[in-house]
Amino acid sequence: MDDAHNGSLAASARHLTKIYGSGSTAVHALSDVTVEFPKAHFTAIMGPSGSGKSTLLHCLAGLDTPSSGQVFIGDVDVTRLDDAGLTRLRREAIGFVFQSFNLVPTLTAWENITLPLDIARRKPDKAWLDSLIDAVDLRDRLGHKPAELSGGQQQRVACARALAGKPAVVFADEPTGNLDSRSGSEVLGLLRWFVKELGQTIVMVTHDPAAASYADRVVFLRDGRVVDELLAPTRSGILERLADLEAGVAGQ
Amino acid sequence: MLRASIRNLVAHKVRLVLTVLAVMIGVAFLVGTQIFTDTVKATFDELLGRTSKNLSVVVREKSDFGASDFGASRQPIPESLVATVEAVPGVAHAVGSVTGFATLVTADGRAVVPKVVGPPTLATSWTPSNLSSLRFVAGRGPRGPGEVAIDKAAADRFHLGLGDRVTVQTEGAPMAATVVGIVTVGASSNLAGAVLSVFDPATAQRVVGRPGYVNEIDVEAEPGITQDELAARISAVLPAGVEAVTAKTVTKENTAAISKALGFFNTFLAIFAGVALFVGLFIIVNTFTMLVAQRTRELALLRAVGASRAQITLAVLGEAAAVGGVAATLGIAFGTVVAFGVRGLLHAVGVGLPSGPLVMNGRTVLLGYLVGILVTVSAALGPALRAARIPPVAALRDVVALPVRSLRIRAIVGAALLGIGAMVAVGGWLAGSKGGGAAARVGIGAVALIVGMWLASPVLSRPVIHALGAPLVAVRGVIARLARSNAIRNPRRTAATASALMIGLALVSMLAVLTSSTKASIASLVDRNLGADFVLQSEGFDGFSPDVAHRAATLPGVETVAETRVGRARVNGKTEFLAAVSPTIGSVVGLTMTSGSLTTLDDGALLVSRSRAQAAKLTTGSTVEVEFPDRTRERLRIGGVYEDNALLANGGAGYLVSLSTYERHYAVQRDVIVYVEAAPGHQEEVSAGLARALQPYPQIHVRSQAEYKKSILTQVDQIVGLITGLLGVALVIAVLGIANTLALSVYERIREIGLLRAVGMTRRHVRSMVRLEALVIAVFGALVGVVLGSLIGLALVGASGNQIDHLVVPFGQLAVYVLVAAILGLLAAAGPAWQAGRRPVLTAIATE
Repeated sequence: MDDAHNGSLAASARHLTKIYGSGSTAVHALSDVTVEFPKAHFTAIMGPSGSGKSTLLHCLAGLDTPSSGQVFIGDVDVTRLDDAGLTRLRREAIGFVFQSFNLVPTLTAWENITLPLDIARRKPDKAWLDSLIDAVDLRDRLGHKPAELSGGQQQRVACARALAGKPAVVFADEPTGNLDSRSGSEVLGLLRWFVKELGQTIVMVTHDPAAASYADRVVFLRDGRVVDELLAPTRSGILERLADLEAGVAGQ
Repeated sequence: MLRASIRNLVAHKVRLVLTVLAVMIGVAFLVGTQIFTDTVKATFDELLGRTSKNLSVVVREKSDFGASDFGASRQPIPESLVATVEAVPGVAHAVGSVTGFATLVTADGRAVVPKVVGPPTLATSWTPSNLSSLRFVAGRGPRGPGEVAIDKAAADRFHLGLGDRVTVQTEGAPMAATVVGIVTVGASSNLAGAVLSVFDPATAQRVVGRPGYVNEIDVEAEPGITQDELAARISAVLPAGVEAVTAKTVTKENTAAISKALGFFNTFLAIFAGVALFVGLFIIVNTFTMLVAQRTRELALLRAVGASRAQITLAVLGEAAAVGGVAATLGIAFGTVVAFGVRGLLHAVGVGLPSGPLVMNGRTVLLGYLVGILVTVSAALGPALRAARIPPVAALRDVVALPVRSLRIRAIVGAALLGIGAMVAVGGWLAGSKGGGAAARVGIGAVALIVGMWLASPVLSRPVIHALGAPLVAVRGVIARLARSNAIRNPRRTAATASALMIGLALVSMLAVLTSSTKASIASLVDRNLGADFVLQSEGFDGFSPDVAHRAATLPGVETVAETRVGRARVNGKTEFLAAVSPTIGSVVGLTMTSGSLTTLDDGALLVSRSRAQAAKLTTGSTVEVEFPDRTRERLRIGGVYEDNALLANGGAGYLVSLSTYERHYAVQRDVIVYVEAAPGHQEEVSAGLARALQPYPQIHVRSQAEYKKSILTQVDQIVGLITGLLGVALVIAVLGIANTLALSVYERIREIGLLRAVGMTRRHVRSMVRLEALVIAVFGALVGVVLGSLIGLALVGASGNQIDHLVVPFGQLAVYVLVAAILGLLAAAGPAWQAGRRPVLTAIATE
């Protein structure tokens, strides 16, 4: 337990199990997953469809409740929080980037970025927001509504929104899934920059090896278990491991 | 196609429940009104028909003076005609009957009056024969002076039984009598709410009629002779001015008179049903727009696999017809409850209707279905046509939006209608002083204004809601900002939702302005003009004996007593309302003569109000021919012209004659209102004196100026209360509409709400957001309605000319309406808000 309180971890999961259904129809989405996410690291979670990568992300972010095991954001045990506690956690310690951008269509780009702060009634850190807006390169687009922005621009707004509250960790769920490759690499470069230059922690679920190659580390999942890990990944290295994974499935 | 439609209907139960409810309420009131009318007709047909088994022909005075009121306004005919009629071949039996007004006073000094203001206290004669509709449920028929029978409803209410002593008050000296019988009218415990006292013919003639005269002769035919044939035979022997009509005709007349007496309720309920259906229209439009929007992909798929545009339209219309059919069925069922309710209400106010089964005609059922289905289908027409315009390719797209039409044309048409409506209404307003159709013009203008406002409201909603939301945003921050922007996101839908509320509140506000102004005008009228210290009145319109005025006149300290009687007469061939007054009337009601003099009344002159003089082109000094109900004609000199005065005879008579002129031409001498003026400083003494002197007349209310004013204002308030109550139901329908719209908004924004939760919004915040959205929509609709309604009310006040001479906008009351609408809006949001807050964050944001 004590290493869970290790100050160097932004988030961690311990013996995490998630079972959907019960009896003979029970599906083990996660089976005894233990994984750690150090601070100021960019971690990608990969795996074939049904490997449990999205479930892991949802449990880590407190959006889904695990059947057993623990999740820590910093040193807070997420699994012990009630709805109000989870809401507070999401306000103060977590940022989200979704595949489908999920911006509020009635708000301008600027209002979307400051939305979490407005909801929490927190005073924005001007200098921090300034640096974010410069990083996402949207200064001349702040007054626009989402419908007037391109997909890449919308996702950059979403990134800035996720970072606005200086969260302990940002969870990204297939952030490039709805983008063309050029916009996608812009967004990924941005996420990487956040980690390197601003010291943020990002956990990203993806099935795209090119996207995962921007991360510091790739965690591979299969059938609800952590099966492999790759540090300083390259695209070809990832493809190789994935092929091994597929072969492993075939070999069983 | 059909299977898809049915599945779809079942899948959207909640939404449809709201729609069905809205249509149902409208249909229920419509059907309820119809059932009630038919039931009343049927019971009276039966009631009167049972007697007409024996009754064949009725002989009576031929009246041309708009006689309807139970025949009481007809002049009596000579009793000798009974023998004449009986001699006609084919007549088996003829009975003369006497009818008039009499009030009974119980031994402990209570007046036996109807339960509610309106129905008269009638006196009638009874002759043992099979022609009478009276049935004795206790005791026997009255024989000779000092015996009376009374109706069962009154006996029950005043705990009168056989052997009880009562005093019979008529125009002459009071008569002591003993109750010897209790009667019902057919199966009914009273005659449409009237109090009935029954005497033997000679006594009836003495107390309420004239010896030697009867009001009508009831005739029984010998077997084998038709009513028409007998009526024709009798007519041949009758003198001029007397007619013989068949029992069938009389039954029809009586039924019509009773229906007309109860017509107030019916008209009112029918108008209300209309308002409810109209408001319901908006909800239906919204619902079907939503159903189509939610199914865009499914409909596109149907198009892709070969369904034609017409098929799509028909499918949606078919669904509407099914919804309308279900709603109509429920509405028809619920309509019987409404009919029961109306009967119960009438019973509560003392109108004893026979408790027979309710009559549901095929026509009523047909009407219910026709209206229910037609309203629903026509409201769904727009959405159905839009559904057909969904391109097949929409099935393949991820996000589909229905083709949205520009609001520009709608706004332009709306603005144009608003302009025209305003012009017409203001025209009516300004025409008010000249009279003649001014109110109708305002009415037409009002309809244009309301429709125009409905059309323009989507465009109007943006700035208004933005402004309305500003203080909320200041207090609640981003939650309120989101709520506000959600409210104006779909202006068409917001406007339709708010319009339902707008119409209800426009009507209520119009009423508020109208009645506040009326009340202020009445109050000032009484303050300005009423010189009398005391006003003596009985409830109802049948008046009381002149003995009351004579008693008042002899009291010490009384300076002036003015009597008023009313009647109809034909002036220059036109039937007019006329009042007979004492010349002292001038000071007590503040009558102003524009020419001539009040004292000419005593010389037998006729006085004319200014408006009548203008209309009939009469001038002081000229003469005019007046025909009285006793069929005599007199050329009367116009003795003067007076300013219209609403205090005269309870509402402003157009013509005045002296009491002696009235006495010469009218069979019944009853005062409707008596004014008493005390000598300065003797008010207390007169008040005490009146209380003592009028002890035998417990039905007379002695009211001081303040009490008189209050009694009139209370009547206005009662009517307003009733109307407001019914319009309240329209507001409830509007609230259903708000709930409906919000439920859809929440449904459409599930993912957005999930996102807000993900970035830190609490459940409470989400619920607040939905509630605030409802709040701004409700307040928007309410404000527009209140403003529009107040302006229409003001125009109506203006159009009334001098009748309502005070413009009063009851700001406090209107503010309460807006507040109530706001609270109702919040209530409507409770369900959708709970739904929105309940969604787990994950399901809300997870991609499909």
